[in-house]
Amino acid sequence: MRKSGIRVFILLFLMMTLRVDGAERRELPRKGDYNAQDTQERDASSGRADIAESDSGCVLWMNEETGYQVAVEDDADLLTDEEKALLAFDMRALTAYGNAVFKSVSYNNYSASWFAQDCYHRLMGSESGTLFLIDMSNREIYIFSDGAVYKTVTTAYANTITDNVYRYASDQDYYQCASRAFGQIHALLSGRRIAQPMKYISNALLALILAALINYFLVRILSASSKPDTREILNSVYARFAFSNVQRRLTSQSKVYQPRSTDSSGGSHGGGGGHSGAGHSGGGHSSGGGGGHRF
Amino acid sequence: MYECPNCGSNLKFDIPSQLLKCDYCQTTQDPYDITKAQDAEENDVFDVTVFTCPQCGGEIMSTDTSVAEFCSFCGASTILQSRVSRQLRPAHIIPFRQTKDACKKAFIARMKRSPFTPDELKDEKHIDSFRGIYMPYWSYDISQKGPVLLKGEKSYRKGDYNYTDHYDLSGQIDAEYNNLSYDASSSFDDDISARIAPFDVRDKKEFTPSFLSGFYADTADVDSEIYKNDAIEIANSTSYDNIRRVKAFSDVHLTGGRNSFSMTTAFHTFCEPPRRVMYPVWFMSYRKNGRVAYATVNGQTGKVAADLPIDLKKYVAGSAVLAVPIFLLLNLFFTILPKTVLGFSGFLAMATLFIYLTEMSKIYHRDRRTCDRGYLYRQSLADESKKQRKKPDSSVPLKDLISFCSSDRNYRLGGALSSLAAAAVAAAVWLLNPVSDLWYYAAAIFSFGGILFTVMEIIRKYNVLATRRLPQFDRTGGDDRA
Repeated sequence: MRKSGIRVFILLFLMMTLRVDGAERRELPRKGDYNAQDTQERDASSGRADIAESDSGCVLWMNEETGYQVAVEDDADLLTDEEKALLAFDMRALTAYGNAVFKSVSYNNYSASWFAQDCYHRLMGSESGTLFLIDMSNREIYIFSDGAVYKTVTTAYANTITDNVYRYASDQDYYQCASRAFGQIHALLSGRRIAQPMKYISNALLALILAALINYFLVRILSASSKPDTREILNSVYARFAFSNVQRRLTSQSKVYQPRSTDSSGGSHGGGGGHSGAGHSGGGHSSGGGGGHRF
Repeated sequence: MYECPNCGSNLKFDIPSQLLKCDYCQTTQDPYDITKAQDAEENDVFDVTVFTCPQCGGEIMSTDTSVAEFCSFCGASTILQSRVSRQLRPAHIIPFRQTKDACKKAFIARMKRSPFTPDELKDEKHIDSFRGIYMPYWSYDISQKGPVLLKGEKSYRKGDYNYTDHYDLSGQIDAEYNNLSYDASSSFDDDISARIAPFDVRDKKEFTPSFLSGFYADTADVDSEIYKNDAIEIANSTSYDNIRRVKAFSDVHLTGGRNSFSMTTAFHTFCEPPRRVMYPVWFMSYRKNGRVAYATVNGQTGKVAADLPIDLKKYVAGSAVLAVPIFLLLNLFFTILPKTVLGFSGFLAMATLFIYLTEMSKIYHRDRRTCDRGYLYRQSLADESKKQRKKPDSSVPLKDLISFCSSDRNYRLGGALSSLAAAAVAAAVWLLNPVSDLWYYAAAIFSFGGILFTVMEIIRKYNVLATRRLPQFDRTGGDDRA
């Protein structure tokens, strides 16, 4: 009975941890796994030539049907031209749902979350879409999503995706990092599921710790015998109480002057306020958010 | 021994019929009829055989002279030394109402509600060793009669002023709290006697020795003054609460506090000289690893109080099973970052350390019986020191606790150190803030291990507690080396 219980637990855990979408079942390629031949084949089959590059080096493409755009701004110069073009091509699939922006930055005075949000709104306004940031200054990757995309690529998923791909960034394989991230965002947007090892491992550890403590209290409660309270004791003895000739006599009265508070400060009940947090600070009109991971 | 008038065999008290019954010819006899014939000349004392355990010095008495071969206090299987003695006659007795079978059923039902109890406790051999013992109690009658004057006040606000009206609250109190009972045996742990209480004294009978036939009885060796203030305190606080609820005083706040001494004066509280009484208890004891565990069943109501150890294997398996629904529940609502998990685990490690120290404090008190005033009274007599009448201080100096934790191999400090180390590692990794998740997972696993180890140490100590130190009574025959 105990053995079968443990088996079921392990099986459930493995199933949930290893459940991946079709793309994720493949072994993840390492840096340099792709080559020019692959690129040429993909160019030929998809017409990558319509991707434009601006004077500033920003790669741009627009989906004529939806009006959503792809933007690749590699200010930190982490990708080769080839990789930028490949990434832009990979990101095209997302334009069915919203804008897709890749941004890298080498110097940033702010937090990655603030920068990602600000950058997205600067480029795409309040339209639906997502931005993947590689912040070399904070050594952090960050996904910010807004609008309809944010309903799917929530903060929790942004955290999960960045957790899934941060190792590529640590290995300086920035193209794979971004490509994998956009691939997983696309998987979510198209209704597929992605691997969530961080979620399951974290929850499993927390569940084990909580179970150990909760079970301890459960065990103690079930093993304890309660002592009777005073009422129970009195119910089992001869107890009688009578109180007659009850009198109440006012002997004195005292008063203290204590004016009601007029609350002159006023500010304690009103005034300005704000809300800060990942993906919610600044901007004012944003409904988006995101999550990231250091690398 | 009470002889059957029909066949001369031994008459024993029969619980279902509440009469003396001959096992041989089934003749029944009213307990008072047979007593009148044998014990008419003496009203204050009665003859019994006192059995003394050569190992722990515990004493039980019986109206039978047959050899007793088992000590209920230390669980020793040995022939108890016996002598005939004259004991002071109790005023009242509550006869056994629960048969041994009913007692066994109540105990088994209690075991079923404790799934983490070791299977060996459910062993028929243990369960069959329940022994009916009449435990001595002191019975206190408290009366309160006379005029009462209390102070009260009522506060309210009018305009910019806070007003307080001061009142004299008076009345005539007429209250009685009779038969408040406290166990009078130093060998019967106060904690156990409190847990099987209460006995319904409305079922009491005038004492006659024949009620003891077929059972054992413990001897009263605790001074009646020990629990007198407890009984007075119950009476005072109950009357105070009742007066507070009097309709005419309902909107007035009574002042002056609930000091028992001042209430005793205000309510004219008077305690009659306490009386000896005997209450029925089914008693089971068993030895394990040089310690003894008790299971008791109230012989009148069937209420069970037992030292129930926890099976560590069952605890670990139960925790693993419990982890599954918690895991599924967490997955439904949360995506937790590794660093957050580490933060939680560090916090829970500190919480576990706090639990450990709290539990150790309880174990310390229980193991040393620092709250068992009957026991402390006997100890103080043994030490030729003054009687300890005041309540013991419930706080434990940290120095004593650490000394206690490290003084015995059963009380290692490892439990505290492991959760402390878990919290320290969690804090260190949290502050170092490494990039890789693996550090957080490793630290969280370490914390989990530390927490689990601490909890298991608490359970081990609790199990040590659930099997008490062998009692060594300050009586002739007590063997400290037993």
